[in-house]
Amino acid sequence: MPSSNVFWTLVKYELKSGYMTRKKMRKGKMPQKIWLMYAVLLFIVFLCFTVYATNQHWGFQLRNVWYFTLGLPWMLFGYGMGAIKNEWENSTEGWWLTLPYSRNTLIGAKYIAALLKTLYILLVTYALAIVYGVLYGVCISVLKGGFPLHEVIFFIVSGFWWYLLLMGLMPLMVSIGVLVAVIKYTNAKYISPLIYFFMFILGYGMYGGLGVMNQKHNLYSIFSGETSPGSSPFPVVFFYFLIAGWILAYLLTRFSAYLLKNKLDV
Amino acid sequence: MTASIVNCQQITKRYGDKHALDELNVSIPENKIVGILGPNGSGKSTFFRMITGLVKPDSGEIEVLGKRPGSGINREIAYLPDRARWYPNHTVAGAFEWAEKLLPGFDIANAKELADFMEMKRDMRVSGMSRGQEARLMLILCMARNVPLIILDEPFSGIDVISRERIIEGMIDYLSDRDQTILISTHEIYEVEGMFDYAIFLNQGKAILSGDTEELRAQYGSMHDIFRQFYRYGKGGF
Repeated sequence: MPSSNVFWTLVKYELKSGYMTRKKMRKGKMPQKIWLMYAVLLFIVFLCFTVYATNQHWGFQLRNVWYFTLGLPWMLFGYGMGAIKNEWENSTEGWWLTLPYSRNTLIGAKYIAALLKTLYILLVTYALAIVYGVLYGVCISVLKGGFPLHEVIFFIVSGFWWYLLLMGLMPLMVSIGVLVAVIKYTNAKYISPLIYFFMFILGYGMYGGLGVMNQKHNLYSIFSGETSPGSSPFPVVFFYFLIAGWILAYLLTRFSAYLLKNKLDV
Repeated sequence: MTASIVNCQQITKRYGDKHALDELNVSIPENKIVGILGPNGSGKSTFFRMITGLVKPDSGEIEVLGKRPGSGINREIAYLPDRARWYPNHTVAGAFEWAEKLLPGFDIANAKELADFMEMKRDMRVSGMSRGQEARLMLILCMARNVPLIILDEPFSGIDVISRERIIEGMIDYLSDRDQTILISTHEIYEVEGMFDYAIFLNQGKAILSGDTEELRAQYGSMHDIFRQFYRYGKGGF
């Protein structure tokens, strides 16, 4: 089979696996209908809470909802980590690592699959957020009369900038997740604290640095409503950092492959 | 003289202070069924992992099919790892499809034939299988490959006696007319020793005895007897 076909076959199987481990399967999968019911219920409760809170003059606004998604970058990291960890949790690592393809191919396929999964989740959650914003507007128009168009558009646009940032960070966060998981199974375990320190710096850079770079116009001032999200909340220099992050993501993925080839501890 | 499929010279592998392999010298003849025998911790699994390139020797030279181990040479090797499991979301048919796409030399017609013999229904899901059924599936995935070298690390662990006998009977039938070298490590020596053409006994990372099973039997008795005598009385040898 040509190597590109093998690569995409590996990606396809990775996507199909759904990160299902033996342990999770033994516990039993919640039926899709029940899962959907809970999700809809949570969505409605949260919508009711937002409508109620914005009408109580607590200072809560629709755009503040984005604060609840600040944990999403860690989900990206978790997906990268899970892609590798699952092989060991399922005791299938021996099969995976002795496939007759280079470590770059094996790791690369997992990395691309994790990227596609996280991209899918980001797109779905953003689409849900748009629906959420519109429903909020409908509820308000029923309660007060008049659709709060400006507020809803503000919410959708500020979310757009946030999700754009997440998509930009996605390659790096997933590659760090892959590396952290790989390190655990190699003789290079001693560099784990360094990686976590790097993660801390990255986290600070993202959450804190964005505010420091431009105090008048940043993501948080948009979430809080202090400034309008009409233009990019990121200074130009931030995009250079993002591109550097993608290059770093590539290097980290190659490094993960190198570790699996030369430093495996089995 | 028979050609060698695996050649090791002075291979050493340490994990901390412990020698998993200690200046191991081994030459494995091709087209034979070879028993790699020894107690737990004697280095059998490390030896197999080294053949498949999973671990690298600290010192010494190893050649498999005339090349250094690695992902390239794994095209020619079917390997059933020790304590391995299969992907829980696959069915038997799904596992065959996976193998057909990713494992060179996988013959799906042979796999189906073996599955019928081992009473494995195609729609069985791995997550719902017993350990024995899962072990059979993994065995099929290795045996159905047309490659020069098959490595089975403890392939019968978790399989009950009745199934084991049936599987071994099937393996003898299936493998007898194939030009493949099969390395098997097992604790069930008594049941499988009839399969072996050649045996290598390992202890503390060294090959302490090797040779054609016919010759070894003539000299020392059955493989099972050799195993019991040697490992019961420690490193004294014969």
